Amino acid sequence: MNEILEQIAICVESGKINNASPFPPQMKGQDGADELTKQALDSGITAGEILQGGLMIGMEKVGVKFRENKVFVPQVLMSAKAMSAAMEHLKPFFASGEAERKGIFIIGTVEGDLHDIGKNLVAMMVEGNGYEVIDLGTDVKAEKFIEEAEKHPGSVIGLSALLTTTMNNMEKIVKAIKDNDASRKVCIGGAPVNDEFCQRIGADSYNPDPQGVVEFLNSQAS
Amino acid sequence: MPKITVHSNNKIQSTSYNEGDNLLQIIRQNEQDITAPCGGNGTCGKCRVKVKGLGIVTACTHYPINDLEVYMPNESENKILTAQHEYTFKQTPVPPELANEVDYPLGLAIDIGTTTVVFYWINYIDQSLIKTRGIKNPQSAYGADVISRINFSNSENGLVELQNSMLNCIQQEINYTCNEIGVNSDRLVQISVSGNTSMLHLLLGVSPSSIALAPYTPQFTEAKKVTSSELGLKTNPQTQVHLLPSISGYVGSDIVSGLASIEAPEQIKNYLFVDIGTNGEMALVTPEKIYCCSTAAGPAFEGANISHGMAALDGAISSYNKGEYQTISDESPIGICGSGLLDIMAYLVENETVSTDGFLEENYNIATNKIDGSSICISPQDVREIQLAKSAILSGINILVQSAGLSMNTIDALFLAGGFGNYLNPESATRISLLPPSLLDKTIPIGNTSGTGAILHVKSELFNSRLNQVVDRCEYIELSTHEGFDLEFAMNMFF
Ligand code: B12
Ligand code: FES
Repeated sequence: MNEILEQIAICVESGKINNASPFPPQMKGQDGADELTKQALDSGITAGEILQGGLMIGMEKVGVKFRENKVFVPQVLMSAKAMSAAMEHLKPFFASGEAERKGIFIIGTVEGDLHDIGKNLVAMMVEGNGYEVIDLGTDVKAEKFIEEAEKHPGSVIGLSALLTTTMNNMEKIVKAIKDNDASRKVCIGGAPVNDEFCQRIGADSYNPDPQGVVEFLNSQAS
Repeated sequence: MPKITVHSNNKIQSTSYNEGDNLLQIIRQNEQDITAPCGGNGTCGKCRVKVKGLGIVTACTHYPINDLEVYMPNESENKILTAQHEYTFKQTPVPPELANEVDYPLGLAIDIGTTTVVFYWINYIDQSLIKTRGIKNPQSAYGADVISRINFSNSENGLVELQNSMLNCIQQEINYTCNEIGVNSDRLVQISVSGNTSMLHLLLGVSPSSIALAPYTPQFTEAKKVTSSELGLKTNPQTQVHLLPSISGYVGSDIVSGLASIEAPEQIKNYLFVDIGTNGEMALVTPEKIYCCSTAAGPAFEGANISHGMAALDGAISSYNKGEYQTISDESPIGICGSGLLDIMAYLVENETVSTDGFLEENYNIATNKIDGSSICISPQDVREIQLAKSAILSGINILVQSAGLSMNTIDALFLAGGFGNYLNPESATRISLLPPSLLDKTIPIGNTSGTGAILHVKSELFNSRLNQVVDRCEYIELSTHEGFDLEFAMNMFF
């Protein structure tokens, strides 16, 4: 594999954003995902190749380590930030249609809830795995999810809730989405949510961690 | 109807029950003390009881159909903090007018915490504290945290049930103490209550629903005054029940009352006030202003979400040093409480069994449970839970200091309020950076300040203006929308 792509993957995996970033300490003074992505593009590697051969590889490694409890929120957040820095350089190519993504994922924290740290991690992990992510933010009502989904046929919706009280809103939102379009896929997550709840409210997939959503989306896309 | 027989603390009681109810509901109807941290959602596993012939069952997910016999776990008296502190505000006593009309007037200060309720009886004749008693909050049976209780209050009759359970508990205390000192309950001329915003809503029977949903607006924060007869309390019918003022949905009158109760010595100019609990309320007091916030640390330090975690009851490992542990009442160990947890974490971080980023290879054995031979250990997931909780507290503190435009080295003292703050070892707490390491030598436990404030309110009407000053000087910092909270929170997870 191309050496620079390998380096980008390492930067994403270890959360090295750019040359100036002090994190992780052992990579101090080295170029990060930001610089390396630019260099890769300049050397003629396509955006699609960088996404698949660099970002996705690095992101998957962090996702798996996170699932296995080997790394935690700070490392994943730094990885996600490194990925976003690289993605900034790639976005124009996706916008112009020169490079393609696997699908569209619409995510938001449900009405009544402002917790967004977990949701943001999921959003960034999904993006780093080759999907276009539309983040509707926090305290999002059912209508908003439906309106956005209608603009993007085939998109999948992700709902996050961190309060036992807003789990009820999650139930309402899933129902509204399904009433509007029964074939629309909805995945849910957040600390108090579990598989049993997911089945009870008729959502399509529950995952305790971001890597799980990515696998679900991949299974839908293929 | 089938019959249930409950064995509890050597008492046996039999009643019939409705088929279709779960065991948690049945036990509650029998007015037995049972803890249900997740409010009966079947997720916390802490509502376990022993059923004859079946062994241990999770009460809230067990639906009995036949006659059954239940053995409740033996409850040992929880160590509830009731002490006052040495920085208590000094004031001139101004008793309520009603105190002049009865012979032996008494006042009652009540601190309603989510977990415990503490009663303080004051004699108006010499302003002395004649009796203090702490009990478990009877609403614990409806969920350990505020959100679970609010959930319950939304169910049919839930609000009334919660209100009654608190009023009954207050009435019982009044009857019990008046009986004990041999006076009629109409001697009680004033009741002052401090507590978190949700507890005060429940006391008045006002729905706290809106507090659990963004933007988390309470129905009231101002001070309230009702007569005991309006609440249905049997005392002197003219007794006023005062609810002290709050600041927001998650910074309640317990914090206002605590802040007002402190009179820091002159050399302490800027100080932090931190109540480490499920909601993690805190404030930074500067000569001009008070900044406050609530950080939602979660109940990890109270033992919930920790595999062998437990409340500070008999048999809980409460301190730990290099492989040596101590338990409450020196009983053989059955679990780990918050202060023990901090010591263990500090030790594991110090000897690098847990890396600075919180990685623990496998379960770490602490002790053996002599009853069933099982291991009392810390799991890798437990470390993650501690990281979330401790980071929430430290992030809150850092953001307060930043918001005031100060730096940590200009902070003159860190007052630790509440039970946990009193029992924890500050060295362990700073070693794992639950508290800022640089404040180790400035950390001062000051006990139950909420109760202290309520006592000051019972003693003097003048205390109202001090409470109002706190409210007026307070700037509430909303962390949910605070720019940069996420990065702060992530980075403070390191040990
Ligand atoms: C950080 C935090 C906050 C921050 C939120 C900042 C933000 N911008 O999000 C602040 C301090 C603002 C906050 C506020 C509140 N909080 Co808060 N908070 C927490 C805390 C400490 C950690 C949550 C967190 O971020 N975890 C880390 C992330 C990475 O994990 P996560 O969100 O679970 O996400 C992961 C998975 O669940 C999953 N996932 C998440 N979303 C999705 C979506 C999909 C589709 C999928 C597949 C997966 C998925 O993937 C993520 C990565 O693995 C928890 C307690 C704890 N120890 O867990 C309480 C907690 C969630 N908060 C709670 C509460 C009640 C509140 C408040 C409403 C009240 C309060 N007590 O202060 C307030 C809001 C009011 C206010 N004005 O302050 C309670 C909820 C209790 C309950 N029974 O519901 C908790 C459990 C604490 C407690 N027991 O009191 N909180
Ligand atoms: S599992 Fe029953 S109350 Fe939590």
